[in-house]
Amino acid sequence: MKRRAVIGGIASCFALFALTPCPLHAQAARPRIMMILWRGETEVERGFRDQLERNGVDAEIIVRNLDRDMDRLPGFLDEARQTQPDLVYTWGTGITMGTVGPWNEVDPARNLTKLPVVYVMVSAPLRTGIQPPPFADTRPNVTGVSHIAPLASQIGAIQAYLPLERLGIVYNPEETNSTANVEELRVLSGSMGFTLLEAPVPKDADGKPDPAAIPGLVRKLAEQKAQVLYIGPDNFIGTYRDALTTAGIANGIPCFSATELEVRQGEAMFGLVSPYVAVGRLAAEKATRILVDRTPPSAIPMETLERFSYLIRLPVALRLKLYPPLQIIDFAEIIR
Amino acid sequence: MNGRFLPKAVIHSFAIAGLTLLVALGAISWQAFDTGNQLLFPELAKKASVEAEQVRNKINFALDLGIPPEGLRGTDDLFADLRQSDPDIAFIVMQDPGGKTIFAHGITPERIDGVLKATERPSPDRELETGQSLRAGYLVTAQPVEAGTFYLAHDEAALVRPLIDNLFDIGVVILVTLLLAFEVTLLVMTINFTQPARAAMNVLRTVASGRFDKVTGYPGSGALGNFITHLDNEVRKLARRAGTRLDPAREPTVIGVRLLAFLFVFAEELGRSFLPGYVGTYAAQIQQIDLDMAIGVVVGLHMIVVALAMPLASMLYPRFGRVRLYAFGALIASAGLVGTALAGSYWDLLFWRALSALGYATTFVACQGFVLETTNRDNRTQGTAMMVGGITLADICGPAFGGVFAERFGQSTTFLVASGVAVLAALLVSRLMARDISRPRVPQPITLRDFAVAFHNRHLVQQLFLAALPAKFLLTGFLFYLVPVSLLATGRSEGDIGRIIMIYGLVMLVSSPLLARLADRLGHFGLFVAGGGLLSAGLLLLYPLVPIVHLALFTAVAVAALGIGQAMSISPQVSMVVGMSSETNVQRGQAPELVVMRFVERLGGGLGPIIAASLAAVYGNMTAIMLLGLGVMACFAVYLLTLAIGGRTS
Repeated sequence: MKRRAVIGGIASCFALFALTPCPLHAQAARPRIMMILWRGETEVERGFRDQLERNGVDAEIIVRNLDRDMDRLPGFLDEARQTQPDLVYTWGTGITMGTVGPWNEVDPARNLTKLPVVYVMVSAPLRTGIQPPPFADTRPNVTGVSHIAPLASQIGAIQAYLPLERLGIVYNPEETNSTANVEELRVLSGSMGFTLLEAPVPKDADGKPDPAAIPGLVRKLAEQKAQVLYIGPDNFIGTYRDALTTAGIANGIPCFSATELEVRQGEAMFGLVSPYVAVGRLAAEKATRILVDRTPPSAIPMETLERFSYLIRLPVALRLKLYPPLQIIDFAEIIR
Repeated sequence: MNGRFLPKAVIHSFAIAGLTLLVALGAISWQAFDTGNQLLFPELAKKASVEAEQVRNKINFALDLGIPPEGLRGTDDLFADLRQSDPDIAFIVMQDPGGKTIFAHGITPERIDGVLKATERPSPDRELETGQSLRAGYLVTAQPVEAGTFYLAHDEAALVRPLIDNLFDIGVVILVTLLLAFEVTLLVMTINFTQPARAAMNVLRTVASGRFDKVTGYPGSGALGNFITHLDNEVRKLARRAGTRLDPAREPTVIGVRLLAFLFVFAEELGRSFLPGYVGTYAAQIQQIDLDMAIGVVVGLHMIVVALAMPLASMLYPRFGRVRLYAFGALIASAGLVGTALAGSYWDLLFWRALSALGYATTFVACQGFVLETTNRDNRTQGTAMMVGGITLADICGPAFGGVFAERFGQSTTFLVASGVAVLAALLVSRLMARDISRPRVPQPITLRDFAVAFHNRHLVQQLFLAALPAKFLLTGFLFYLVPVSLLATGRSEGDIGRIIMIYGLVMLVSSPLLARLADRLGHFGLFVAGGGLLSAGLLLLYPLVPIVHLALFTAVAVAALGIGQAMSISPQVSMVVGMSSETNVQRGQAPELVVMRFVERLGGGLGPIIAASLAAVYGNMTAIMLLGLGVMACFAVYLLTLAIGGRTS
């Protein structure tokens, strides 16, 4: 019965997030948007640009790519202070945190405090402090869109597929978003009835997390009889996702992902995700309100999408002989 | 029925008219049922085919994805989902081309071959869809899938359930029609034939004894009318000659109270079967009170307001008189019912229900007054029987007819119709409550003195609180609250609930006179009262053990037992209480003991649903029914003990 209830819940939140176009008055001056990205443009930016255009906002978009090197961020922020774009767009928890800081520890010397900032792909804005807690004042210059389904819904999605007893997670203990996520999983394991098997990635000689350790960690989790490997918001694991999923398949363990690309482009078997395009579209709505309506970012809520997609990567499911139940086939998006 | 009010010839004509009506209605109904059967079955077969096709598509899609047949997962949940939307589905099975079962739900593996290979039963006039067959009591729909065959089976008996339900509805409508026809015929016959004929007989008797002081006083046409007019003219001529003063022999038409009592109770009873569910939709919107309690309060409030409003209505009686009081009460009740139908919130609903109750109490008092005024010591019992007859009839017809009606036209509409019935009653009253009254009398409101007299009598107090109150408490708490609520919770329709509640009235109608006569013959009134109480509550103790599927059937039996139990105790109880009253009071027809008993009974009736609801809120419906039964049985057990100690069983 529990599984059926979960399926029902997911089915009801299935369906893609769609935003209707709404034409706008032409702007006198062409607004400038500075995009600070982690690994170049993704589907999120495609959605963002497309929705801006639908909204009739003709903006000049200046792209700054960190190319996975966080050390480049201060330089870009200096540039923003000098060129004063109308809006700064930040991708992911790391960049956003570096750009605006936690709500209660803003450092004007390092963070942007005046320029409006719209973030995307921040998995846990509240837990990382990017979003102030409910009782505190809103941030004057920050708003944005989170892309992660509530963790309990994600676990529910796994339980709808198979009776979950042991969930394994390989994660980078150096990333705040990742550790926060693991902490929440620990709490949920009690209430949702599963055991969490943790495998933090050790550091290499340079003091950086060591990707070569991943296959060994997965093997160890397999020995502990993990049924599913959980891929949460973790930039390191995101970068080395193929190593993780390959090791998982080799050991007969499927990966579940909270983000889209791991299933769509990688070898994760299933996931409950926000489509990247939809995240970008919602961010564009917020940008439009700032640029066109002159709404202060403090008056625009930081939010996550209301609906998520259940993705299944069929070849992986067939290879692992973990066939999806008929009810999930009914509403899931199946990638063949 | 009493011979004095109903001569043999009238009974015969009723029997003939009733039989003719029954045959005609029966024939029409059978035609309708048969047509329904022929039209409905192909529809059900089509629906089964569509259901099977949907599942087949799901299975084929999964197989297309590359999932092997033995890897199909979640078929158990699929079956549960199917059953949820169509409870008549008996099982689903998939077999590979070799006949090996891949999955089966709702049927044991050993039985599969027995059913699927059973001989197909021909269905000459029933159109089946492709792949369908009737075998082993199932309608089996077979659909080819990519790796074998998928079977979906419906219980054949369940498929005709809508038809059986229709049959029940038709039965209820026939019953109500017959009873109403009986009421109207009785009224017309009495007013137009029986009473004029009797008056003519009286006149002829006085003439035969050589006196010329009475005329019939009826205007008339037709054979009887001509005869009466002629008779009156002749008597007048002779009287004028003899110089005697003339009195009309016509008697007041007490019969009218039957229809009037029927109408105002019928209006209220129409909502009986679904009132708790109806209130529930409003109560769900408020947070302040627990849902069960909120429902119980509305159901109980009606009876409490009735108990408290009756003394008030009695006080208004002398000022307004019965006709205006009845019309006033019926209009108030009508407004209350319209308000009930259109209420905007729970609190509105509470107000409108209270208003209905006020109207109900007022009409009740007006009818009581009418009986008091139109009867004398000799025929008061018969007059009261007229009123009780109307009420019993409404108790039978109201819930059942209201249930059927609500199921088809909606609950709000039913309340609006009930309001229309109340308006009709208000319109009829001036015609039915004849004005020619020789003995103006007023129903006395209950006074503190009545209570003082009643509570001074220890035996009466025992009678009131160990027997009278628990009996009414059980009636309203169980029949008016827990029966509809628990049946509704298990998915029964308003129509089903109405029919089950109707059983109570039917059993009362049939068994009351028999049991009253038996009690009179055997004596032992106390044992009858106690036995009735124990019988009406006994079955309730078994409720927690009753499987949900048999709940409706068991409830029907329990309601019948309740009816027999109450019928056993009502008449002996009145006899006992009258026996405890002082002689003078009884002769005045105003025993305070009886008045107080009615008041206590009504209060008990009001508390029933409220306490039943609180029990249900804490323990759930089934346990609440059991506890209610336990409490009432305990009361009657103690009652029996006090009788035994006092040696008063007979």
